[in-house]
Amino acid sequence: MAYENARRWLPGALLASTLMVSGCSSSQAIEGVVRPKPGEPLLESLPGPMPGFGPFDSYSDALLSACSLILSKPNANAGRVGDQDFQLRWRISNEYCAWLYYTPERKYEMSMLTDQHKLDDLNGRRSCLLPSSVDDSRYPQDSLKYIFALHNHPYGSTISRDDIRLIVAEGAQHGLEIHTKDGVSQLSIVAFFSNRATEPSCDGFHQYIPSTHQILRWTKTENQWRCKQTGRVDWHADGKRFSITETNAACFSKGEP
Amino acid sequence: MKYPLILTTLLTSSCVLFPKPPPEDLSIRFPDFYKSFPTLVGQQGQPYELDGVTLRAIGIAANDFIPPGYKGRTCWDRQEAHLYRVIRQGDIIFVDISTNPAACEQSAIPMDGGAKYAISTDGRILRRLFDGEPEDLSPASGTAEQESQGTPFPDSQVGGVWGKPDPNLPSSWFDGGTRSPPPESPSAPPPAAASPDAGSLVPDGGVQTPDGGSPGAPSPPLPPDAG
Repeated sequence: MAYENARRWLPGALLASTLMVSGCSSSQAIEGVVRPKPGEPLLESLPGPMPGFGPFDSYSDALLSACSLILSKPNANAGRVGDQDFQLRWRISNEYCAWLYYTPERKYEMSMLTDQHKLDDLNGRRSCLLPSSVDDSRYPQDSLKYIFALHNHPYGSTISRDDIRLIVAEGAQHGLEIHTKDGVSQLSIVAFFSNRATEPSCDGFHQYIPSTHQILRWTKTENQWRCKQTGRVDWHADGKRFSITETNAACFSKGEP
Repeated sequence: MKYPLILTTLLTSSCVLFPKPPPEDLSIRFPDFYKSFPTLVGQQGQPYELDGVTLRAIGIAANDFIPPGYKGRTCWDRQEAHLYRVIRQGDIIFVDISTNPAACEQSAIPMDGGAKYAISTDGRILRRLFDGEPEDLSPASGTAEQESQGTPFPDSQVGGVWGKPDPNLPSSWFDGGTRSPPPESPSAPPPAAASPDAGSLVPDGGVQTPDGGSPGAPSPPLPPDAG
Protein backbone atom coordinates (compact mmCIF):
# COMPACT_ATOMS: atom_id res chain seq x y z
CA MET A 1 0.00 0.00 0.00
CA ALA A 2 2.77 2.35 0.95
CA TYR A 3 4.53 1.50 -2.28
CA GLU A 4 1.39 2.23 -4.27
CA ASN A 5 1.02 5.60 -2.58
CA ALA A 6 4.65 6.40 -3.24
CA ARG A 7 4.31 5.45 -6.88
CA ARG A 8 1.29 7.69 -7.20
CA TRP A 9 2.61 10.79 -5.46
CA LEU A 10 6.36 10.72 -5.73
CA PRO A 11 6.61 11.81 -9.36
CA GLY A 12 4.36 14.79 -8.68
CA ALA A 13 6.23 15.75 -5.56
CA LEU A 14 9.57 15.46 -7.33
CA LEU A 15 8.32 17.51 -10.26
CA ALA A 16 6.94 20.15 -7.94
CA SER A 17 10.15 20.43 -5.98
CA THR A 18 12.28 20.43 -9.13
CA LEU A 19 10.16 23.11 -10.72
CA MET A 20 10.23 25.16 -7.59
CA VAL A 21 13.97 24.96 -7.24
CA SER A 22 14.42 26.04 -10.84
CA GLY A 23 11.46 28.36 -10.67
CA CYS A 24 12.65 30.32 -7.66
CA SER A 25 15.47 31.46 -9.81
CA SER A 26 15.09 35.19 -9.47
CA SER A 27 18.22 35.32 -7.36
CA GLN A 28 20.03 32.47 -9.05
CA ALA A 29 22.44 33.11 -11.86
CA ILE A 30 21.40 31.70 -15.21
CA GLU A 31 23.94 31.40 -17.98
CA GLY A 32 23.46 34.13 -20.55
CA VAL A 33 20.94 36.06 -18.41
CA VAL A 34 21.68 39.41 -16.80
CA ARG A 35 19.52 41.21 -14.26
CA PRO A 36 19.93 43.99 -11.72
CA LYS A 37 20.84 43.01 -8.19
CA PRO A 38 18.15 43.43 -5.53
CA GLY A 39 17.66 47.10 -4.80
CA GLU A 40 19.46 48.22 -7.91
CA PRO A 41 17.75 50.13 -10.73
CA LEU A 42 16.71 48.47 -13.95
CA LEU A 43 19.30 47.64 -16.55
CA GLU A 44 19.49 50.54 -18.99
CA SER A 45 21.19 48.53 -21.70
CA LEU A 46 21.86 44.89 -22.44
CA PRO A 47 25.43 43.69 -22.88
CA GLY A 48 26.24 41.96 -26.12
CA PRO A 49 27.00 39.80 -27.85
CA MET A 50 25.72 36.61 -26.26
CA PRO A 51 28.81 34.48 -25.70
CA GLY A 52 28.96 31.44 -27.94
CA PHE A 53 25.91 32.48 -29.96
CA GLY A 54 27.01 34.15 -33.17
CA PRO A 55 27.87 35.92 -35.28
CA PHE A 56 25.49 34.87 -38.05
CA ASP A 57 25.51 35.81 -41.73
CA SER A 58 21.79 35.23 -42.03
CA TYR A 59 19.01 36.85 -40.03
CA SER A 60 16.93 33.67 -40.15
CA ASP A 61 19.76 31.52 -38.80
CA ALA A 62 20.23 34.01 -35.98
CA LEU A 63 16.51 34.16 -35.27
CA LEU A 64 16.02 30.40 -35.13
CA SER A 65 19.11 29.95 -32.96
CA ALA A 66 17.79 32.62 -30.63
CA CYS A 67 14.47 30.80 -30.46
CA SER A 68 16.08 27.56 -29.33
CA LEU A 69 18.36 29.31 -26.86
CA ILE A 70 15.63 31.36 -25.17
CA LEU A 71 13.24 28.43 -24.92
CA SER A 72 15.93 26.34 -23.26
CA LYS A 73 16.08 28.68 -20.26
CA PRO A 74 14.48 27.60 -16.96
CA ASN A 75 10.69 27.75 -16.99
CA ALA A 76 10.49 29.42 -20.39
CA ASN A 77 7.67 27.04 -21.35
CA ALA A 78 4.51 26.10 -19.54
CA GLY A 79 3.33 23.57 -22.10
CA ARG A 80 -0.33 23.31 -23.04
CA VAL A 81 -3.53 23.40 -21.03
CA GLY A 82 -4.17 19.69 -21.24
CA ASP A 83 -0.71 18.79 -19.97
CA GLN A 84 -0.25 17.35 -16.54
CA ASP A 85 0.97 20.02 -14.10
CA PHE A 86 0.18 22.84 -16.53
CA GLN A 87 -1.14 25.10 -13.77
CA LEU A 88 2.01 24.71 -11.72
CA ARG A 89 4.24 25.21 -14.74
CA TRP A 90 2.29 28.30 -15.73
CA ARG A 91 2.58 29.84 -12.27
CA ILE A 92 6.34 29.57 -12.18
CA SER A 93 6.93 30.27 -15.85
CA ASN A 94 9.26 33.07 -16.79
CA GLU A 95 9.82 35.46 -19.67
CA TYR A 96 13.24 36.31 -21.09
CA CYS A 97 13.93 39.10 -23.57
CA ALA A 98 16.81 40.30 -25.74
CA TRP A 99 17.68 42.19 -28.93
CA LEU A 100 18.78 40.69 -32.20
CA TYR A 101 20.92 43.31 -33.92
CA TYR A 102 23.07 43.96 -36.96
CA THR A 103 26.66 45.03 -36.57
CA PRO A 104 28.97 47.24 -38.65
CA GLU A 105 30.71 44.03 -39.69
CA ARG A 106 27.45 42.99 -41.38
CA LYS A 107 26.72 40.19 -38.99
CA TYR A 108 23.66 39.33 -36.97
CA GLU A 109 24.16 39.03 -33.21
CA MET A 110 22.03 38.65 -30.12
CA SER A 111 22.45 40.53 -26.87
CA MET A 112 22.48 38.70 -23.59
CA LEU A 113 19.07 37.92 -22.14
CA THR A 114 17.36 39.54 -19.21
CA ASP A 115 14.37 38.49 -17.14
CA GLN A 116 13.96 41.72 -15.22
CA HIS A 117 10.27 42.37 -14.78
CA LYS A 118 7.79 44.72 -13.18
CA LEU A 119 5.63 44.06 -10.13
CA ASP A 120 8.34 41.93 -8.54
CA ASP A 121 6.47 40.29 -5.74
CA LEU A 122 2.96 40.16 -7.13
CA ASN A 123 2.40 36.62 -8.25
CA GLY A 124 0.72 35.58 -11.43
CA ARG A 125 2.10 38.40 -13.54
CA ARG A 126 4.86 37.80 -15.99
CA SER A 127 6.61 40.38 -18.10
CA CYS A 128 10.06 41.25 -19.35
CA LEU A 129 11.45 44.76 -19.26
CA LEU A 130 13.54 45.17 -22.39
CA PRO A 131 16.29 47.81 -22.25
CA SER A 132 16.16 50.01 -25.34
CA SER A 133 19.80 49.61 -26.28
CA VAL A 134 22.62 47.10 -26.53
CA ASP A 135 26.12 47.75 -25.29
CA ASP A 136 28.53 45.82 -27.51
CA SER A 137 31.99 47.06 -26.58
CA ARG A 138 33.35 46.23 -30.04
CA TYR A 139 31.29 48.92 -31.69
CA PRO A 140 30.00 52.43 -31.02
CA GLN A 141 26.50 52.13 -29.61
CA ASP A 142 24.92 54.17 -32.39
CA SER A 143 26.42 51.90 -35.04
CA LEU A 144 24.25 48.95 -34.07
CA LYS A 145 20.98 48.35 -35.91
CA TYR A 146 18.05 46.84 -34.04
CA ILE A 147 16.02 44.29 -35.96
CA PHE A 148 14.08 41.93 -33.68
CA ALA A 149 12.92 42.48 -30.10
CA LEU A 150 12.90 38.91 -28.82
CA HIS A 151 11.09 37.22 -25.97
CA ASN A 152 9.18 34.04 -25.12
CA HIS A 153 5.53 33.46 -24.32
CA PRO A 154 5.37 30.49 -21.93
CA TYR A 155 1.92 29.44 -23.11
CA GLY A 156 2.38 30.47 -26.73
CA SER A 157 -0.16 33.26 -26.62
CA THR A 158 -0.20 35.82 -29.38
CA ILE A 159 1.41 39.27 -29.35
CA SER A 160 0.08 41.34 -26.46
CA ARG A 161 -0.93 45.00 -26.55
CA ASP A 162 2.13 45.79 -24.41
CA ASP A 163 4.27 44.11 -27.07
CA ILE A 164 2.62 46.24 -29.75
CA ARG A 165 3.18 49.49 -27.90
CA LEU A 166 6.75 48.57 -26.98
CA ILE A 167 7.93 47.95 -30.51
CA VAL A 168 6.29 51.14 -31.76
CA ALA A 169 8.08 53.07 -29.01
CA GLU A 170 11.35 51.39 -29.96
CA GLY A 171 10.70 52.22 -33.61
CA ALA A 172 10.48 55.88 -32.73
CA GLN A 173 13.94 55.60 -31.21
CA HIS A 174 15.74 53.23 -33.55
CA GLY A 175 13.77 53.59 -36.77
CA LEU A 176 11.36 51.14 -38.36
CA GLU A 177 13.46 50.36 -41.42
CA ILE A 178 16.89 48.81 -41.17
CA HIS A 179 19.28 48.72 -44.09
CA THR A 180 21.37 45.57 -44.14
CA LYS A 181 23.39 43.59 -46.64
CA ASP A 182 20.22 41.58 -47.22
CA GLY A 183 18.12 44.58 -48.17
CA VAL A 184 15.74 46.59 -46.04
CA SER A 185 14.39 44.98 -42.93
CA GLN A 186 11.44 46.15 -40.87
CA LEU A 187 11.69 46.37 -37.10
CA SER A 188 9.52 43.75 -35.41
CA ILE A 189 8.82 42.06 -32.12
CA VAL A 190 8.88 38.29 -31.79
CA ALA A 191 7.43 35.96 -29.14
CA PHE A 192 8.78 32.40 -29.28
CA PHE A 193 6.92 29.37 -28.03
CA SER A 194 7.32 25.66 -27.58
CA ASN A 195 4.46 23.19 -27.53
CA ARG A 196 6.18 20.94 -25.01
CA ALA A 197 7.28 21.89 -21.56
CA THR A 198 9.36 18.81 -20.86
CA GLU A 199 11.40 18.79 -24.04
CA PRO A 200 11.31 22.39 -25.23
CA SER A 201 11.98 23.02 -28.87
CA CYS A 202 11.48 25.97 -31.18
CA ASP A 203 7.98 25.19 -32.42
CA GLY A 204 7.08 28.66 -33.58
CA PHE A 205 6.71 32.35 -32.86
CA HIS A 206 4.39 35.28 -33.19
CA GLN A 207 5.67 38.41 -34.92
CA TYR A 208 4.30 41.95 -35.12
CA ILE A 209 5.68 44.31 -37.75
CA PRO A 210 4.51 47.91 -37.16
CA SER A 211 5.30 49.16 -40.66
CA THR A 212 3.14 46.51 -42.35
CA HIS A 213 0.46 46.31 -39.64
CA GLN A 214 0.78 42.52 -39.63
CA ILE A 215 0.68 40.01 -36.81
CA LEU A 216 2.14 36.77 -38.13
CA ARG A 217 2.25 33.29 -36.71
CA TRP A 218 5.16 31.10 -37.75
CA THR A 219 5.04 27.41 -36.91
CA LYS A 220 7.30 24.47 -37.56
CA THR A 221 5.80 21.05 -38.10
CA GLU A 222 7.56 18.09 -39.60
CA ASN A 223 10.60 20.23 -40.37
CA GLN A 224 8.55 22.67 -42.45
CA TRP A 225 8.10 26.30 -41.45
CA ARG A 226 4.76 27.87 -42.25
CA CYS A 227 3.50 31.41 -41.91
CA LYS A 228 0.01 32.77 -41.48
CA GLN A 229 -1.21 36.30 -40.85
CA THR A 230 -3.38 36.09 -37.74
CA GLY A 231 -4.04 39.76 -37.21
CA ARG A 232 -3.89 43.29 -38.50
CA VAL A 233 -3.17 46.28 -36.27
CA ASP A 234 -4.63 49.59 -37.38
CA TRP A 235 -3.51 52.79 -35.74
CA HIS A 236 -5.51 55.95 -35.30
CA ALA A 237 -3.92 59.04 -36.81
CA ASP A 238 -3.09 60.21 -33.28
CA GLY A 239 -0.59 57.36 -33.02
CA LYS A 240 -1.93 56.38 -29.60
CA ARG A 241 -4.99 54.24 -30.22
CA PHE A 242 -5.07 51.04 -32.15
CA SER A 243 -7.45 48.26 -33.03
CA ILE A 244 -6.73 44.64 -33.88
CA THR A 245 -8.61 42.68 -36.51
CA GLU A 246 -8.26 38.93 -36.44
CA THR A 247 -7.34 37.51 -39.84
CA ASN A 248 -6.65 34.16 -41.37
CA ALA A 249 -4.65 35.23 -44.36
CA ALA A 250 -1.40 34.62 -46.15
CA CYS A 251 1.73 36.39 -44.96
CA PHE A 252 1.86 38.42 -48.12
CA SER A 253 -0.64 40.05 -50.43
CA LYS A 254 -1.29 38.89 -53.96
CA GLY A 255 1.51 40.12 -56.12
CA GLU A 256 3.93 40.35 -53.23
CA PRO A 257 6.50 39.20 -53.57
CA MET B 1 -0.46 9.81 3.28
CA LYS B 2 3.10 10.95 3.69
CA TYR B 3 3.59 11.89 0.04
CA PRO B 4 0.52 14.06 -0.36
CA LEU B 5 1.69 15.80 2.78
CA ILE B 6 5.14 16.39 1.31
CA LEU B 7 3.62 17.76 -1.89
CA THR B 8 1.27 20.01 0.03
CA THR B 9 4.10 21.27 2.20
CA LEU B 10 6.26 21.98 -0.81
CA LEU B 11 3.47 23.78 -2.58
CA THR B 12 2.70 26.02 0.36
CA SER B 13 6.14 26.77 1.70
CA SER B 14 8.10 28.28 -1.14
CA CYS B 15 7.88 30.69 -3.97
CA VAL B 16 4.69 29.14 -5.21
CA LEU B 17 2.90 30.32 -2.11
CA PHE B 18 0.12 32.39 -3.57
CA PRO B 19 -2.57 34.12 -1.61
CA LYS B 20 -5.72 32.22 -2.37
CA PRO B 21 -7.89 34.42 -4.51
CA PRO B 22 -11.65 34.16 -4.32
CA PRO B 23 -13.07 31.53 -6.65
CA GLU B 24 -13.43 32.75 -10.19
CA ASP B 25 -16.00 32.00 -12.84
CA LEU B 26 -13.85 30.35 -15.49
CA SER B 27 -16.78 30.23 -17.90
CA ILE B 28 -16.63 33.98 -18.36
CA ARG B 29 -15.27 35.00 -21.75
CA PHE B 30 -13.76 38.43 -22.23
CA PRO B 31 -14.95 40.72 -25.00
CA ASP B 32 -12.62 41.91 -27.73
CA PHE B 33 -11.29 45.14 -26.26
CA TYR B 34 -9.38 45.96 -29.43
CA LYS B 35 -12.08 45.49 -32.01
CA SER B 36 -12.26 49.23 -32.64
CA PHE B 37 -10.63 52.45 -31.53
CA PRO B 38 -11.62 53.44 -28.00
CA THR B 39 -12.90 56.86 -27.02
CA LEU B 40 -10.16 58.71 -25.21
CA VAL B 41 -11.25 60.14 -21.87
CA GLY B 42 -9.42 63.13 -20.50
CA GLN B 43 -9.15 65.44 -23.48
CA GLN B 44 -8.35 69.00 -22.52
CA GLY B 45 -11.40 71.08 -21.67
CA GLN B 46 -13.94 68.36 -22.45
CA PRO B 47 -16.50 67.21 -19.88
CA TYR B 48 -16.91 63.48 -19.35
CA GLU B 49 -19.42 61.67 -17.19
CA LEU B 50 -18.80 58.26 -15.67
CA ASP B 51 -21.33 56.36 -13.61
CA GLY B 52 -20.26 55.25 -10.17
CA VAL B 53 -20.59 51.55 -10.85
CA THR B 54 -18.14 51.74 -13.74
CA LEU B 55 -15.81 53.94 -11.72
CA ARG B 56 -15.87 51.43 -8.88
CA ALA B 57 -15.19 48.54 -11.24
CA ILE B 58 -12.15 50.28 -12.68
CA GLY B 59 -10.93 51.03 -9.17
CA ILE B 60 -11.38 47.42 -8.04
CA ALA B 61 -9.47 46.13 -11.04
CA ALA B 62 -6.69 48.71 -10.67
CA ASN B 63 -6.32 48.03 -6.93
CA ASP B 64 -6.19 44.31 -7.48
CA PHE B 65 -3.65 44.68 -10.23
CA ILE B 66 -1.41 47.00 -8.22
CA PRO B 67 -2.51 47.36 -4.58
CA PRO B 68 -2.57 50.91 -3.21
CA GLY B 69 0.67 51.59 -1.39
CA TYR B 70 2.57 48.93 -3.29
CA LYS B 71 6.24 49.82 -3.20
CA GLY B 72 7.46 48.83 -6.62
CA ARG B 73 10.97 49.06 -7.93
CA THR B 74 10.20 50.86 -11.14
CA CYS B 75 8.06 53.62 -12.56
CA TRP B 76 5.96 50.94 -14.22
CA ASP B 77 4.80 49.60 -10.86
CA ARG B 78 2.18 52.34 -10.50
CA GLN B 79 -1.47 52.44 -11.48
CA GLU B 80 -0.82 55.72 -13.29
CA ALA B 81 1.59 53.99 -15.66
CA HIS B 82 -1.21 51.99 -17.24
CA LEU B 83 -4.05 52.37 -19.70
CA TYR B 84 -7.57 51.16 -18.91
CA ARG B 85 -10.16 50.09 -21.46
CA VAL B 86 -13.69 49.37 -20.28
CA ILE B 87 -16.60 47.51 -21.85
CA ARG B 88 -19.90 46.90 -20.10
CA GLN B 89 -21.96 43.85 -21.01
CA GLY B 90 -25.11 43.34 -18.94
CA ASP B 91 -24.17 43.03 -15.27
CA ILE B 92 -20.47 42.66 -15.93
CA ILE B 93 -17.96 45.44 -16.43
CA PHE B 94 -14.84 44.25 -18.22
CA VAL B 95 -11.61 46.15 -17.64
CA ASP B 96 -8.43 45.77 -19.69
CA ILE B 97 -5.18 47.03 -18.12
CA SER B 98 -2.04 47.51 -20.19
CA THR B 99 1.22 49.43 -19.94
CA ASN B 100 1.39 53.01 -21.16
CA PRO B 101 4.91 53.44 -22.57
CA ALA B 102 4.49 57.22 -22.51
CA ALA B 103 4.01 57.21 -18.74
CA CYS B 104 7.63 56.59 -17.84
CA GLU B 105 10.93 57.81 -19.15
CA GLN B 106 12.81 54.69 -18.21
CA SER B 107 14.96 53.06 -20.82
CA ALA B 108 13.45 49.61 -20.30
CA ILE B 109 9.86 49.04 -21.41
CA PRO B 110 7.66 46.09 -20.40
CA MET B 111 6.69 43.30 -22.73
CA ASP B 112 3.42 41.79 -21.56
CA GLY B 113 2.52 42.41 -17.93
CA GLY B 114 -1.10 43.56 -18.32
CA ALA B 115 -4.35 41.92 -17.26
CA LYS B 116 -8.07 41.72 -17.92
CA TYR B 117 -10.78 41.75 -15.28
CA ALA B 118 -14.46 40.90 -15.15
CA ILE B 119 -16.15 42.87 -12.36
CA SER B 120 -19.77 42.46 -11.36
CA THR B 121 -21.90 45.55 -10.99
CA ASP B 122 -22.03 44.84 -7.25
CA GLY B 123 -18.26 45.08 -7.08
CA ARG B 124 -16.96 41.50 -7.10
CA ILE B 125 -14.06 40.23 -9.15
CA LEU B 126 -15.57 37.46 -11.23
CA ARG B 127 -12.45 36.65 -13.20
CA ARG B 128 -8.94 37.95 -13.79
CA LEU B 129 -6.67 36.98 -16.63
CA PHE B 130 -3.04 38.01 -16.76
CA ASP B 131 -1.23 38.54 -20.04
CA GLY B 132 -0.39 35.32 -21.79
CA GLU B 133 -2.63 33.18 -19.58
CA PRO B 134 -5.01 30.83 -21.39
CA GLU B 135 -8.60 32.01 -21.24
CA ASP B 136 -10.05 28.61 -22.06
CA LEU B 137 -8.79 26.06 -19.54
CA SER B 138 -10.57 23.07 -21.03
CA PRO B 139 -8.09 20.36 -22.02
CA ALA B 140 -9.51 20.37 -25.52
CA SER B 141 -8.29 23.89 -26.12
CA GLY B 142 -5.08 23.89 -28.07
CA THR B 143 -3.34 24.79 -31.21
CA ALA B 144 -3.18 21.53 -33.09
CA GLU B 145 -5.54 22.73 -35.78
CA GLN B 146 -3.62 25.91 -36.34
CA GLU B 147 -0.27 24.18 -36.68
CA SER B 148 -1.08 22.71 -40.05
CA GLN B 149 -2.18 26.01 -41.54
CA GLY B 150 -0.14 28.61 -43.29
CA THR B 151 2.08 29.07 -46.28
CA PRO B 152 5.27 26.98 -46.37
CA PHE B 153 8.56 28.87 -46.26
CA PRO B 154 12.17 27.66 -46.45
CA ASP B 155 14.18 28.04 -43.26
CA SER B 156 16.27 30.76 -44.88
CA GLN B 157 13.25 33.08 -45.11
CA VAL B 158 11.75 32.55 -41.68
CA GLY B 159 11.16 35.85 -39.93
CA GLY B 160 11.41 37.91 -43.10
CA VAL B 161 8.95 40.68 -43.79
CA TRP B 162 6.46 39.78 -46.48
CA GLY B 163 3.99 42.62 -46.30
CA LYS B 164 4.20 46.00 -47.92
CA PRO B 165 5.35 48.81 -45.59
CA ASP B 166 2.71 51.48 -45.10
CA PRO B 167 4.01 54.91 -46.15
CA ASN B 168 1.31 56.65 -44.08
CA LEU B 169 2.11 55.61 -40.53
CA PRO B 170 1.17 58.05 -37.74
CA SER B 171 3.53 61.00 -37.84
CA SER B 172 3.68 61.13 -34.05
CA TRP B 173 5.69 57.93 -34.10
CA PHE B 174 8.58 59.80 -35.63
CA ASP B 175 8.57 62.93 -33.52
CA GLY B 176 11.79 61.88 -31.89
CA GLY B 177 13.61 60.66 -34.95
CA THR B 178 13.28 59.29 -38.41
CA ARG B 179 11.45 56.39 -39.91
CA SER B 180 14.62 55.01 -41.36
CA PRO B 181 18.24 55.40 -40.29
CA PRO B 182 20.68 56.09 -43.13
CA PRO B 183 21.59 53.21 -45.42
CA GLU B 184 24.83 51.39 -44.97
CA SER B 185 27.88 53.49 -45.65
CA PRO B 186 29.65 52.74 -48.94
CA SER B 187 32.84 52.52 -46.92
CA ALA B 188 31.48 49.73 -44.79
CA PRO B 189 33.46 46.54 -45.01
CA PRO B 190 32.33 44.01 -47.56
CA PRO B 191 30.09 41.28 -46.31
CA ALA B 192 31.45 37.92 -45.47
CA ALA B 193 30.90 35.22 -48.03
CA ALA B 194 27.19 35.01 -48.38
CA SER B 195 25.60 32.00 -46.87
CA PRO B 196 24.11 29.94 -49.68
CA ASP B 197 20.74 29.93 -48.03
CA ALA B 198 20.76 33.48 -46.75
CA GLY B 199 17.37 34.83 -47.66
CA SER B 200 16.44 38.39 -48.31
CA LEU B 201 14.66 40.37 -45.65
CA VAL B 202 12.62 42.03 -48.34
CA PRO B 203 11.91 39.63 -51.12
CA ASP B 204 10.51 42.18 -53.51
CA GLY B 205 9.87 45.86 -53.69
CA GLY B 206 12.43 46.60 -51.03
CA VAL B 207 15.59 48.56 -51.41
CA GLN B 208 18.53 46.34 -52.10
CA THR B 209 21.97 47.59 -51.36
CA PRO B 210 24.41 47.49 -54.26
CA ASP B 211 26.29 44.67 -52.67
CA GLY B 212 23.13 43.17 -51.47
CA GLY B 213 24.13 39.74 -50.31
CA SER B 214 21.78 37.23 -51.74
CA PRO B 215 19.34 37.95 -54.51
CA GLY B 216 15.68 38.28 -53.82
CA ALA B 217 14.24 35.25 -52.18
CA PRO B 218 12.17 32.95 -54.35
CA SER B 219 8.49 33.55 -54.10
CA PRO B 220 6.58 31.04 -52.09
CA PRO B 221 3.53 29.65 -53.82
CA LEU B 222 0.41 31.68 -53.45
CA PRO B 223 -2.02 29.94 -51.15
CA PRO B 224 -5.63 29.66 -52.17
CA ASP B 225 -6.70 32.40 -49.76
CA ALA B 226 -4.08 34.90 -50.83
CA GLY B 227 -5.45 38.24 -51.83
